[in-house]
Amino acid sequence: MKFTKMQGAGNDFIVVDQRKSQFNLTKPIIQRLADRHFGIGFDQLLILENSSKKNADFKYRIFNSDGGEVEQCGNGARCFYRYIKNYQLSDKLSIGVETKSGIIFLSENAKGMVTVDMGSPDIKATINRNGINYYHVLIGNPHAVINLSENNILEDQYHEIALDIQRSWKDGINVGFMSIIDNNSIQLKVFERGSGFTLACGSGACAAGAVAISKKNLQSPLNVHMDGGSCSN
Amino acid sequence: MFIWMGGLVQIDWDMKNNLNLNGTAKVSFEGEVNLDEYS
Repeated sequence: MKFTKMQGAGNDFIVVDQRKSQFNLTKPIIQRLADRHFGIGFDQLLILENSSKKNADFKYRIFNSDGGEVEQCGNGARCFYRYIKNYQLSDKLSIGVETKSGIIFLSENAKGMVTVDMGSPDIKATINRNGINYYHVLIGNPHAVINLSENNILEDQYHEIALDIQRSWKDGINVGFMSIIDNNSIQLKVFERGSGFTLACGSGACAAGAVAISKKNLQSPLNVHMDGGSCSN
Repeated sequence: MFIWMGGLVQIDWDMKNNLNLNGTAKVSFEGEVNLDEYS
């Protein structure tokens, strides 16, 4: 099976083309492939397939490193666009892609950055779980956004808190720990459902960004810094 | 001027229209595996 290893903001993927050949990618095989010591190593597996939807050029499916299929992945979507362009599979400027949570549109701007139209975020409620307040946000997949300025949490508690919140949801949830840096910037660490802490999470960045802009009056465009690196002026 | 590296992404959202996520995406390498060795 041929694959392409990719990364978006440090969030890493393999992309496999299943349009012509079907591979036996069972849950245990995905787990072994994702292993960073005994396999290839990745946060998510992206599978390219043909789409039967009218507005979609392609379909892609997303599997976490535990082998579970998920609805949405912002960094993965950007890598998917780059994959399509790298292998010259489409000459369209905007590509419609069918995902488990609907059709999303991907394009590239003049600076060479890939733009993902993530739809409209839905900030459902503020929830208290064992003394921790978080925002429940849906943006293709579910997120719990913890604003660290509203909670007294030490970094060595992140793992335990993330697991506790994840287990309180039947299908799990991604948990983001957000710090506000300034009017246009936040810092974010995300514990992804089925993958654990990753260097970056695109949909997690969107969920936290939606909270920062709508609830904390931060300004758009908003820079989201995650562990995969930093920016310089 | 911003130089885009690693874990920085940018969110564009006016609270009325859809939210856009901007960032880099790169190919690291290509490879091939024998799935029989993983089953």
